[in-house]
Amino acid sequence: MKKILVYDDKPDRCQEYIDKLRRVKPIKKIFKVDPMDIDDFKEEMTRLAERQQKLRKRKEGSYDMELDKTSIFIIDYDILHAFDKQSFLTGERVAYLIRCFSKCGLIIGYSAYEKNEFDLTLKGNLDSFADLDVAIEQLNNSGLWGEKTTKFRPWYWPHLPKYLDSFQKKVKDVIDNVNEPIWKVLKFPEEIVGTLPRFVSQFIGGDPFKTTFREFVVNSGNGLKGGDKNPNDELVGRIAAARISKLLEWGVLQRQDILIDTPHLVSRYPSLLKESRMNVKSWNKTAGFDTFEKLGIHHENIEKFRFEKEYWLSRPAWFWSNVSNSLRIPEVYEPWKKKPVPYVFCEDSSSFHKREKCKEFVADFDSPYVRRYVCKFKDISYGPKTRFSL
Amino acid sequence: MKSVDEMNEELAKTLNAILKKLVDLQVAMWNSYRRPPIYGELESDRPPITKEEMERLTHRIRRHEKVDFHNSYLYLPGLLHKLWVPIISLRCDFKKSLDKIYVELQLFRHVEKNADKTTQEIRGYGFRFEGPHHFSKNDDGKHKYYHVQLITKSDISKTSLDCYPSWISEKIPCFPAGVNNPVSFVLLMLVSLYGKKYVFDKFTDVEIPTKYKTQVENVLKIEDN
Repeated sequence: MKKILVYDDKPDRCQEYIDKLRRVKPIKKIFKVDPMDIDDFKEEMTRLAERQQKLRKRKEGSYDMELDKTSIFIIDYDILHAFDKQSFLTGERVAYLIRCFSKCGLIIGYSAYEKNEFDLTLKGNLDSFADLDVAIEQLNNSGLWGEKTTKFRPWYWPHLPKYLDSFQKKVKDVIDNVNEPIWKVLKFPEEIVGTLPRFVSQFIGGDPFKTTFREFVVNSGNGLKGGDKNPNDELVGRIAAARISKLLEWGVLQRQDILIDTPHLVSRYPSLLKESRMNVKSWNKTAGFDTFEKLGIHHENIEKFRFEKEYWLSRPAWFWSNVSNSLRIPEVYEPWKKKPVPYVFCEDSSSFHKREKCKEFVADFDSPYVRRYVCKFKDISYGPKTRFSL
Repeated sequence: MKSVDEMNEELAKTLNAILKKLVDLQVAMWNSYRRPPIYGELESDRPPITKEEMERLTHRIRRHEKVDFHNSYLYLPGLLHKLWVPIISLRCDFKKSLDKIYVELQLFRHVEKNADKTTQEIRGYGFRFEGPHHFSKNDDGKHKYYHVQLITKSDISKTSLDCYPSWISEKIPCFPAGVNNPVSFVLLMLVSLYGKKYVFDKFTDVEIPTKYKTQVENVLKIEDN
């Protein structure tokens, strides 16, 4: 069984959420969920700091801590520990140490103070070394763990068990290509690399066409930080896999104008739907985490534009500029004949609903496709509220 | 069959969706590597409209309140290898009439100032896209249709376009647009710049009822012959 470890500086709350996690069906099948107590946590952090120091002196350490054997580490991001008189340990610092100096799989940060909120900016937090941030109330949301649900289930969440599996593939991909240009390994066409938003190139650092995984980890400031250096290939693999993944999910895919995922694609080109467009089930089939062949679209028409390195994303995607120039799609060669679409995709439920029942909002990036929809659940708060259209 | 109110609401909603999409395109273009260099030179005198301003204006359109861009402009994608940059400003008052719309289109480019091509200046020209004059006291019935004419100055921002000789007429020619509503009118203006396919491609995620697109198609039918 794979292991989930949870750390919260309030043991009662920690146990409460562990009990909730243990009752989630998809988790029960695959994971063993345990708490990490404060003494173990202190020990692990001390050893991580030692590894950090060894690395600076070009010394290797052994990987035999609890965190090295952990598939998913869930941490309260609001912790603030002072284990010694010199420094404070915050959730963010912990995430950095774990990502860079352990073999831990995924890191999930939660906040106990931000209750059920849906982030209308859709920007995420690229600075954070956690792979995902959620509100505490959503930790045991079965939709996060892969179960189909009609309840609150943000589309920006990955399918966690699948995301964990793909993480190892990404790490291997980086290790096998550690000195190769990132976008070349990811098989991004050159003409698309040239049109990536500025902040994406800034995040990678250097010349976007040439920066390698190793250069990203060492030089960009978004991998190893400060005096941390001398990473071996495996370390570069884990750091780059996590950070570039996050960049692809939040900085590239979320915009839906460089890469586009299936529900957004069929919203623009409904002719790609295999089944009846008058039936909402046809639309909802596209909003899944299955392989592209199972998503209910005429994928053969757009196969050559598919993002091949699919394990680098949490869902299938295609290169938008290529798709939008494909004359195999009726909405491309005769866009004025596109018929009104009865349903819109809601980012908070990962499903389609009738337009009149949804509320439009403006996400916070500079893509032409910033206007999205939510169906608005009563017990969820949506913010910042200024992002809703008037 | 939709009621008059429902049709009016649909018209305002569609026009708003088009305007919002244009401002989204503007923001995306402004922050991208593909931004035409001339944007930076134009923006001090012709500041781009922000998303927030557009939200406020579209809210007013929906409530059929008077709308005026004043000294804000919507920057459209560059044309002809980004040599030309179109910018538009708009005024409308749907409370008075659903035809009361006035759009100014100004086109700018760099022009070499001297023979050795070392210095450039910005030059531009413009058009007004205007709804029918139903309520003008001086209306002699000539322009009771959607039409397009040249401009030598902006009536919305009161800035001049010193591009024409002083003897140029702002009255003739007056091109009939062949549409009967502001949504088709704005679409036609965009099509006149970018072509039918480009426009509807960019608006693929905007709900535009078929009747508005059909009017544009009818005007362009000669294109298909």
